[in-house]
Amino acid sequence: MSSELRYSTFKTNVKYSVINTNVHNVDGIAKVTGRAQYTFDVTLPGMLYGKILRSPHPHAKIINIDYSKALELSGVVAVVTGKDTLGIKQGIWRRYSELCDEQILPLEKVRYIGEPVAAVAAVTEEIAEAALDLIDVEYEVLPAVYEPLDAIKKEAPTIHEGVERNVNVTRHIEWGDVDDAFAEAEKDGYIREDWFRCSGQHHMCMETRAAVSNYTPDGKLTVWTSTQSAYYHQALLAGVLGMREGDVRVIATYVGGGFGGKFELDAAQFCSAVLSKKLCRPVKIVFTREEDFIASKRRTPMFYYVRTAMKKDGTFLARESRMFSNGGAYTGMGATALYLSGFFPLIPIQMERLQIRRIQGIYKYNAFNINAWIRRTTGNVLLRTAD
Amino acid sequence: MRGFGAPQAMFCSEQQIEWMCKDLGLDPFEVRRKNAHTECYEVPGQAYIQSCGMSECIDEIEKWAKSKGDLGPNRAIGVSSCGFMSGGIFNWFDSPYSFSSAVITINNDGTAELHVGCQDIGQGSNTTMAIIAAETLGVKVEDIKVHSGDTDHCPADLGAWGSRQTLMAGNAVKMACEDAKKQLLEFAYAEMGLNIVYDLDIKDRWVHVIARPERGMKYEDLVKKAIRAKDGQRIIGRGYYTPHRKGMISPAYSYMMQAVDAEIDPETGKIKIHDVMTAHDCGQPINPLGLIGQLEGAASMALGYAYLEDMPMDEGKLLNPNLVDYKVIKAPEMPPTGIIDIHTYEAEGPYGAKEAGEGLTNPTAAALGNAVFNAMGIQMKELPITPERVLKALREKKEQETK
Amino acid sequence: MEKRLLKLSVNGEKYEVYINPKTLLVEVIRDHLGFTGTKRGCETVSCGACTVNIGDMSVKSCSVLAVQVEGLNVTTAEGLEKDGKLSDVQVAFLDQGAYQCGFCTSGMLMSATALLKENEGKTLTEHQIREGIEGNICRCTGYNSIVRAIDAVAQGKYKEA
Repeated sequence: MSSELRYSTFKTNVKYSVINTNVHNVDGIAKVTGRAQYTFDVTLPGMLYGKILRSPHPHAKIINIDYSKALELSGVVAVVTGKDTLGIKQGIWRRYSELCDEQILPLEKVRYIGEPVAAVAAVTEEIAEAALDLIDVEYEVLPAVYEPLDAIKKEAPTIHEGVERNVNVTRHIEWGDVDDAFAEAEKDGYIREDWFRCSGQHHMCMETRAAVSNYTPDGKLTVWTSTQSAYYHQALLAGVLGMREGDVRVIATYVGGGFGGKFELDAAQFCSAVLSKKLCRPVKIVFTREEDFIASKRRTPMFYYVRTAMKKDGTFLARESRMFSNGGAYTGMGATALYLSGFFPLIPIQMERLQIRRIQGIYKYNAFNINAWIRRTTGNVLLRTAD
Repeated sequence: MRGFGAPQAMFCSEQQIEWMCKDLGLDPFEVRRKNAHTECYEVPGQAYIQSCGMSECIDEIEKWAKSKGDLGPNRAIGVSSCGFMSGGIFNWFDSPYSFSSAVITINNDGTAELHVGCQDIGQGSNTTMAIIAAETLGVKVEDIKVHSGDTDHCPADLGAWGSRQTLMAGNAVKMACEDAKKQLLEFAYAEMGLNIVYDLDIKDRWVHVIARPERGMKYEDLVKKAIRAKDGQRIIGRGYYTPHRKGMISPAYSYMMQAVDAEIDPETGKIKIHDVMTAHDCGQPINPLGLIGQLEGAASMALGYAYLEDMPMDEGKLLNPNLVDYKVIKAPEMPPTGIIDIHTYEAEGPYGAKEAGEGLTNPTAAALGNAVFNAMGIQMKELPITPERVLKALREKKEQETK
Repeated sequence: MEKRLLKLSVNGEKYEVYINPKTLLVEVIRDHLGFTGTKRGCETVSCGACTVNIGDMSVKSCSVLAVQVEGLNVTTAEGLEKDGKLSDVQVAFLDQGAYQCGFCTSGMLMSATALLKENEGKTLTEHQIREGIEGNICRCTGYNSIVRAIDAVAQGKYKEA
């Protein structure tokens, strides 16, 4: 049996009663008997089903949304757009308001194919789906840009107003005199430089993004959702909905995978909450697999330049790195991922001198809205991703 | 996404190290060993390393790789070392640092309700917290009921990201249970009327004198007496952890070296993974079944990133938004995996534990790239390592050689 | 399309549901009968999270119309235990930790049950086990613990003496 357990451990002196013994997972019985209830399984009395209308354009102004025909369809209870929200720009970087750049139902323009523009609540999923075709959205299509190295050019269209050259975040980390080290290596050491192109990757959790929101007349909003952080969602939802934090209850008893994709606010939570608040009825939104792929944050693709100086005996002297990452439409986690991407190669190895240059997260129009950040290393730590 | 930007970075850095070793005729294990992190190393201005098993990881993988001998044509082992944060210290919300909290309530029958803010998303944090609580309180895992994932009932915690829960939530749980145990033992000291220089502890539901374990009382009896003395109030312990003054990234780091044994078909460019072996330092393993699951799961996800999964776009449109065209590893493609646990003790972690699971996604793409390099002499600078890219690189290498 | 009455047997019990004939089996199981252990993870019959047993055969219930199972016995994950006693496969999964988030687990258990039934009394190789669960995607475990669990049952490690 080739997948036989091969696990060897070095002994320790401490004998624990429970630690480092084989125990059944405490949630095991629920999971192997099909009893574990995920957000995907939650149903409530009087519950409505929500579906999201998404932008077909990578970059466009929203001129008008006419959903009158959708409301006439029997079984449709409500339609909401950005106009039904407080229009608050949110993001995970709450301490830096300039990095909170995403209105989940945008008011003015769309920045990626698949961005929500409206949400429908109906008595069945089929009716909600059919209603999407009856919503007329008038767009003014704007020029788009798809590659980070194009997005940074002077003539590239501006994705976020006020963000110059579409550079979202610039980070720089440096220690030691790197130029000196490279000069030393040029004399009697060895230097190598390489460019790499890394792809994106999707979390592809078995449970797609999902939420059931239930707003009740006492002013309490309960949201069952597939999330990695109930606490973050409580705070984020309270913020964008203008509610008291204690009036928002987030429940995530069983979650069908996260892998980093489910701790930022997503359209399932936001749109179901907005609809439920409007109607005082439970609303359930579950992303299809296609929606999950198209309209959620994911691993950042990036261009990565590495130049390393080494002594001939193999001792590392210095490293210079530059990263240009494809941030997609909104900041998301980009700034942090960028920093870690520059820094983590240095965790297993000691490096006397380091310069991480040009870490730049560049906004691009794309179907994904991860924020890639690019770093720039030359001592300017610009926390804004526009560089 | 799992790895937080590091898998991309390791793909670049660890491959370049391998190529530099080849350029200079140096042994890649020796070069990594020479430059490896050690205990008490300081990454200037960024991180202070306490426990570090990096060198031992390198030793074990070198032994394993050499034991495999000659693998035959078009097949080789590639390695990559890696270290990962065991709890991102950052917080983007209300406080400058990340934090975790926990509350344990002991019922009259001695069972306990553990309320934690950490989130189980399948990685098994509920089980890990139950194990830590049971060990600290001195009871069985079955005595602990974990409550998580409900903001109405659970204390605040930043949740499952940045590989933080074992270390941070684990420390909070340990603190809460130590608090509860201390309250219980106060009654035990009074009850047992011990003389000087005796300490009490609870282990396997037995409250006992540490030096004389046969002297003691049943844990359930102590709980009943304590609650009675408190007029029915339950014993409640509170715990909290936050990593102040622990550098810029993390209070601790896990270390590992991973080796991938891969065979490349020179006609089709297809890759077959024969084996994946990882030497891994996560401090003290808390839940070994969970650790193995994390290794195997991380390997499948990271291998997918290395040679299968891709998200091609055309003018902003994703071309494969479904499970037919987005290729992930399935059961027949999953290779055997093994783990060599390198034991260290991390003072910052609960019982010496560090993270395991996210760090394990980082070295795989680099290790596979290095396997391809060692087997075929081609340098893969683009991900994923598809058959088309392998064939293109082989063609270019041939053209280069004939020039 | 006019609705019609469908009589079906699920987990040993008989049910009657009134449905549109184009309703999928997975929709009847989950939405009409409330057996939410069976999940859906895709729209392309790819992920296997909806796998059930029809008779002794493992079938992706999103690829089958409910009306096709009239007169047949359908088993879901909830139907594996008998009188509160877990089946061998379920115990093996617990022992090996062959699940993490658990979303694929119901489907995986049903594929495993059908595979073991089909090969009762025969030797089951690792290759056959892996092929037997090829239609079930798991994003968490990397499959090897699931293979170990199925192998342990196939080797008779859970047979009562």
